[in-house]
Amino acid sequence: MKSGLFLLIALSLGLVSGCKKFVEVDSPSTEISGGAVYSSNSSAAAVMAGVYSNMMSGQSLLSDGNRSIGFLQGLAADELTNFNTDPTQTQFYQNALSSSSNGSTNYYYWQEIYSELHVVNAVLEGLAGSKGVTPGMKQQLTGEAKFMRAFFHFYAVNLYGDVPLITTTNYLTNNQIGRSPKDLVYQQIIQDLKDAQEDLSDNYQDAAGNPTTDRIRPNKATATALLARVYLYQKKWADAAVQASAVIANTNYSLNSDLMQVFQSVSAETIWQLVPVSAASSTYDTYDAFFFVLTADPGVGQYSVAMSPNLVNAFENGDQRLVNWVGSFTASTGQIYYYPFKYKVYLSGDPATEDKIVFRLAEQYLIRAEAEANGAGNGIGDAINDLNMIRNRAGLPGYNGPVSRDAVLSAILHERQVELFTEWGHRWFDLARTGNLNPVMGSPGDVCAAKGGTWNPDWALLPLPLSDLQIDSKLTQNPGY
Amino acid sequence: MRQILRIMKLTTFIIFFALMQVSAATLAQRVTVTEKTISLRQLFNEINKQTGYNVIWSADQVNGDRIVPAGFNNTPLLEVLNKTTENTNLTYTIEDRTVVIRERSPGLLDRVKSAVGAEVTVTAKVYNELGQPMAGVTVRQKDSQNGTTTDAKGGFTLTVPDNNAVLVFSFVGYETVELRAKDIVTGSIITLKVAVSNLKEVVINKGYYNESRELSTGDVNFVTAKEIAEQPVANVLEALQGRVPGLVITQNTGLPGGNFSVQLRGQSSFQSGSYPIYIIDGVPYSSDLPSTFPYARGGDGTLLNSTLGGGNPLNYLNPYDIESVEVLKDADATSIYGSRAANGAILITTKKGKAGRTKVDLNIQSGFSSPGRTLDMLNTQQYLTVRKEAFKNDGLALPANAYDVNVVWDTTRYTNFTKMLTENTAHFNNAQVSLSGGSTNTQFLVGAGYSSQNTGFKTLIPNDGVNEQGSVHFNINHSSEDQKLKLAFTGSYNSGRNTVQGTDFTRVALGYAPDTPPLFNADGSLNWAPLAPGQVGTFYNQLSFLYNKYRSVSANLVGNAVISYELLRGLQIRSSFGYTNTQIDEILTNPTLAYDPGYMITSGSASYQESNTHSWNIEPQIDYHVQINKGIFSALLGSSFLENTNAITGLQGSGYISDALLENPQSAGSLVSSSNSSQYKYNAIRMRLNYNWEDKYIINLTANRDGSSRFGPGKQFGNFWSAGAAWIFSKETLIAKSLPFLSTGKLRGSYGTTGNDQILNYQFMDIYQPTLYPYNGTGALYPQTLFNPSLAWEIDRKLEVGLELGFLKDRIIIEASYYRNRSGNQLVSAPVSSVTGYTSINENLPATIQNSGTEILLNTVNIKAKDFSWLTSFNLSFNHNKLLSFPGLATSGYQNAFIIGQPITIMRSYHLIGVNPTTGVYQFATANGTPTYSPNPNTDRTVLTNIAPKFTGGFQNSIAYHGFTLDFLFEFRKQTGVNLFGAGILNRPAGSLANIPLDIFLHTWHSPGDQAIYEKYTQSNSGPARNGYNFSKNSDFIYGDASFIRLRNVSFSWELPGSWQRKVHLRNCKLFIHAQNLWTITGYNGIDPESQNSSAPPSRVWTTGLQVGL
Repeated sequence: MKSGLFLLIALSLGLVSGCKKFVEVDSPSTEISGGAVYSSNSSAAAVMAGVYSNMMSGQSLLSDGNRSIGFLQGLAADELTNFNTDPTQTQFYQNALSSSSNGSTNYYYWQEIYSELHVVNAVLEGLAGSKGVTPGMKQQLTGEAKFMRAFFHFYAVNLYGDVPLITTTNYLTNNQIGRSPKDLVYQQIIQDLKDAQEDLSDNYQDAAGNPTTDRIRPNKATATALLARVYLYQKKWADAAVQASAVIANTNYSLNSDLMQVFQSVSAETIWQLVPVSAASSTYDTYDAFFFVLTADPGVGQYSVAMSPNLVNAFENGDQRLVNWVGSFTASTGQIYYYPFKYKVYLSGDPATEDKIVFRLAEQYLIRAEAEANGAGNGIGDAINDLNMIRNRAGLPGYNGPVSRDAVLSAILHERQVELFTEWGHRWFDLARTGNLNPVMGSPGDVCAAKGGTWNPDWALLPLPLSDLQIDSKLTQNPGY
Repeated sequence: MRQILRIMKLTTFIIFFALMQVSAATLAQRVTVTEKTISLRQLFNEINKQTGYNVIWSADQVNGDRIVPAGFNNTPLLEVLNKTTENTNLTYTIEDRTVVIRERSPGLLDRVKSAVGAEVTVTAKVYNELGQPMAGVTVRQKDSQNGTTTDAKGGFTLTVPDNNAVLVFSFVGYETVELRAKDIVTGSIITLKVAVSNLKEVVINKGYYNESRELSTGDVNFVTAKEIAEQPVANVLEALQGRVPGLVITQNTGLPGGNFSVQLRGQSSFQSGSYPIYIIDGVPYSSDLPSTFPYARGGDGTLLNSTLGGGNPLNYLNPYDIESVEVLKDADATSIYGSRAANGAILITTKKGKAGRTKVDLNIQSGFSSPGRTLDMLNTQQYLTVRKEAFKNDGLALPANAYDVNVVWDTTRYTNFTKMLTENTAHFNNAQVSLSGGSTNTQFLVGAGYSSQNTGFKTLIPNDGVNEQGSVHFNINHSSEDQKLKLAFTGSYNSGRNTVQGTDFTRVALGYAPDTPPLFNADGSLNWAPLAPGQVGTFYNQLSFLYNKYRSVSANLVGNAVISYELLRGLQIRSSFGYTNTQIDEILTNPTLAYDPGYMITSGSASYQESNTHSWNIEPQIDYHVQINKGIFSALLGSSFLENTNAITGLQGSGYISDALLENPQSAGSLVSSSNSSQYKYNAIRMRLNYNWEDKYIINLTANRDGSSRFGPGKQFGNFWSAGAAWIFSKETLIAKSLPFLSTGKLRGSYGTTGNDQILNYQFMDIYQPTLYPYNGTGALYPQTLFNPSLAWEIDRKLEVGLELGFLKDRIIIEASYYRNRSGNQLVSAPVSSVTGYTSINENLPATIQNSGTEILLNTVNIKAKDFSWLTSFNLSFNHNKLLSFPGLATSGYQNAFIIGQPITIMRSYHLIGVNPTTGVYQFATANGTPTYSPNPNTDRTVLTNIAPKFTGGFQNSIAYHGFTLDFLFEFRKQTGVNLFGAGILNRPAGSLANIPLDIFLHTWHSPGDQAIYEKYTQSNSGPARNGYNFSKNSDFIYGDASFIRLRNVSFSWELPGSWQRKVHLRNCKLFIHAQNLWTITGYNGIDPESQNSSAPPSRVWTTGLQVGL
């Protein structure tokens, strides 16, 4: 009996102690905790891979498909005609976005941009305190993260104007943050890009840090290409020309003489492209092809847009881009619809030959041309030369209009329209930064009215999501919303 | 914290010290009293002290101050008792180490004396009211240990001292009968009647201890096997609807295997876990299924089949294996579960074997089910008018792609799609068989069950749309000869197969234009009605979804073993060991057949998902009971160790070689996998102290220290406690004498705390998870949460007072309780600006939410005659929710969702004034009441709508006449809810390409001057009417009365006459008709006021069946 009692006492005391250990758990076996991520090269590199994968998954947001900037800003500008009843598409098409629109239309870019900014800041903070990542890899990833931080801020500032500048993961700071003036954001963008140029190498590296020919992670030239664009948008002509020249002079890149090669994954003019990540129900290469290429009347199924007559008519006679990059479909009514056909693999199961291109050399020529026309380098003459590089490749004769600044600039704007159509919202941003948005969208162009909307110069900037304005008292809405 | 630990250790030690005292004394059963005389009270105390035998005596009958002779020296107990009661009016009995001292009945002594040597032997039989023999009935001579039990034929023989001796016949669930020996003719039949009201005697399971309902200090309601058996249901939750005050169970979809929401006494949390904890035979059972998407909140798991709404774990438990369901509500009852019972606890006890003859029970039922409610939609003619008017209103000619009106489709066609797609024959089948019995020391039960239920949806694949469950259940109890060692082992295993269609055709049917082309071509293939062969069709033939094959195969095991040993008298040590395993394998195929051929899809796709949840728990415990003074003191000390792990793996395949190989992931061209695993650990130590003074005054204290792995270092443990007390005033002599009609009177109250850790695992860590898609073949990671290491327990404080009254021998029982629960330190996923990279963060908010309310339960025996009885049970619950305080609400991110002083279930919306008679468009009120077409989202959302029920309840009647029994239950709810405009039924304005409810057609604006409810038709994506529609979706227009009275259950049965049954050697035989959700009274504008969505409404089920006992 006595031993029984002792046993009991021992047991009951055992009940009391030893709890603390019991309720501690390790991180789940399918996941990894923050500390562990930045302790090895492969897991730290995987976070940047996560950024790229995220940009391409679910045909989402900035990059690819019918919710991408190329698609939606194409609708918002004068590039696409909408045949869909989907509210999101309609609101972009009619320039009728509102802060409290049904659904989450106005969140699309905003949430994506800030979500990715959080991750790249986490990478920068994680790497700064890391001991396990080798110096080479640390430098590479820091460069990629800084480049991406600049990249996302660049789109934020162009879509929304003054925006919160995010350089920390601390949510207490970021949850009550105001807008930073555009110039300050640009200052950070330029600093990040200059840092990225330092950190990144000329060649491309894979996830393990080995050189590769796949141009699917940003390298030094990518940072330079974005910096050229940033200077251009800032009207720092000389700087823009310097950066664009650096890319053009880089022997890794050359213009394809065959237009059909431009959007292939092995294209020589690609500076950076994103690999489509395999979606469950399909193996399309890019969602651009899936959503743009018409095999039925627009308005049926996923076929919701066609190229606008505006864009189709912008091509000069003999422009080979109209032949190579534009497709057509004859509808049941006999009407012919044109569609962007830059990316061609639209059928499930066809061999994968295309990636989604983010930066390509042609843009750099056009950047330099514009900078030169504005006085950089040797001026107008060089501008026309650069412009003709693109025209000639498209099978067009050299520029033969008036050799005045305005005429050449206007020719460059036109060239950008037909060269970069439905890519990354170029058209929308070009119109906005050159002061052409109001005349084109409103009176006298009246594109907006033709699409069933009512133009207001305030629509140049998108509305901020209402929910964020409600939470963050320091955030203010853009005018007009 | 440390101090509490120390106190607990100390208390443990004190208990053991006390035990050792007692144990030393038990060794002897001899008494020594050196004084010559002693008062009875002192003597009895000495006996208790020296022998350990309790002496129970009533102050009414025994004068404790009476002086009796003593001078015992190591005298045997019996001798002491004999000597003491000699020449007094007292007598004694000894039962199980308890000495009961009573007053001798006057005169009886003489008769006993005179009858010495005149022993009488009584031989008779005991039958029930149906004339069937009853085995195992206890037959006992009153006030003695002399007794026996009846044999299999109901017979018994008992010898008593004389023919005036009283025989007591008792059997659980039957009324006790007392007869004098001389009144029992040899060979006669004694009939026992089913006890109509025995609520007092019911022993309720409170998890770690049991207590009689009469003596409970807490608030517990229960539902028994009988009530469950009367209902044709596949999930026990359906059987609980309307039966438990304060428990609101909503069936979110009528599809078999679907989702339920369960809420006890209102919503106490902004979002974290509103589920009660489920405990099956002592084993915690998950409240929701695991999810592949671990950071989605809502508490619902994922099934590949989204129409099931996340399913429910109790779908994998056979409801007919359940003996009772106890619902623990107040702090006193739930605090012993500490952390996990913030939302109450639902204890499920499965059936156990009973001693007696071996019994076979068989129950078979079969029937039909149909959608409970449907919506009246337009016919083609009406529809075409609407469409044409919409185009006219929009100023458009009929465009080329308006196929439904421009005669591309045959506009003379009419199909009632609801009828065609959702009202096909649906069966409900159920069979249960069990074998049980055993001896005094060992009892067993083995049961098996099968049930199947299918949807009323159209099927294209054979055997599609069925939910089938097969189960076995077993239980064995054993006790050693000396009754010290006890072992109970219970297990149930359920194997299920669910092929319910992956698309809810209820909604699909509503969306089709009534002139939609035939869904099938002449050759049986799907018709897509393309404009030209090979092109994409002019409509989306959603019957194609029927080719998407869904199959879930599930296995669920719940096992529990309890071993207990009585170390010393009153001291028991026990431990329970539990294990559960739920495994669900799912597949959802998407063959090329399911696509419009115009898309030229050449290969199909498929998804697979496998989830596996294991949990084990060990709960050692020590119980101790001792009589202290006039009261019984009970103590419990126990602890819990629990671990729950789940793993879930999903595969998505595409590019299959052939549709025939979709079930084989190996044949996929490409596969994407996702997986998630998590681990939860819980540890607790608990103590309960209870003191019961003469069954009159009862005090119950519990304390808990709980640790949960869901919180970070330093935050894992929380302390919880409760205090409860009850006063059974009907036992006070004064009250008993002055209020003779009052048979029961109890006042009880409790106060205490419970906690809530119902958040997802790992929320305090910063976790990176692999992305669904690798990047160029290399794995990629993405951070998942904004991490918050300071997460801690949500704390609930519960207060309750209750009054229980029974009148006229408990023919009328009224129970009323008032409660007030305050839930603080709210665990929420708080909205943050998406600038942070996320839209929410898990944190504790200082907000306090209060739920207070009243619950009333009334049970009456209206008529109780020989062959006729009528019983009524009525319950009514009011709950009022209120946000008490929320410091910093204005900047919390919740400022637009909640208002201090208002319920947290309020919805803010615009006020829709009505249709402007001139323009035909909805007008809304601005904050200052002026009409506007475009209200301001920041200032004009002025209407507050509370969507929580105002009151809920049930009304049950049970009428028995001869062998016929009729039971029926009405459930009612008074509530405002989301009507069809908010329920996802109409996702586009009336006038778009989709059918609309008749009600809209009848009350729409057509021309200036019309006073209408609904604005003019439009099919446009812009324009005033479309804007009006958009704003109306955020206005009070989407809320409406969703109150209902639903005839939840009807059971009509006929028990065959006893003589017939005996002829065929049956113990019992019953024929019955059961019906569920038979009838609903409601003014609700939508499909179903309970589910308030566009899914299949709760089904109406009719079955007929047979119940046989051998």
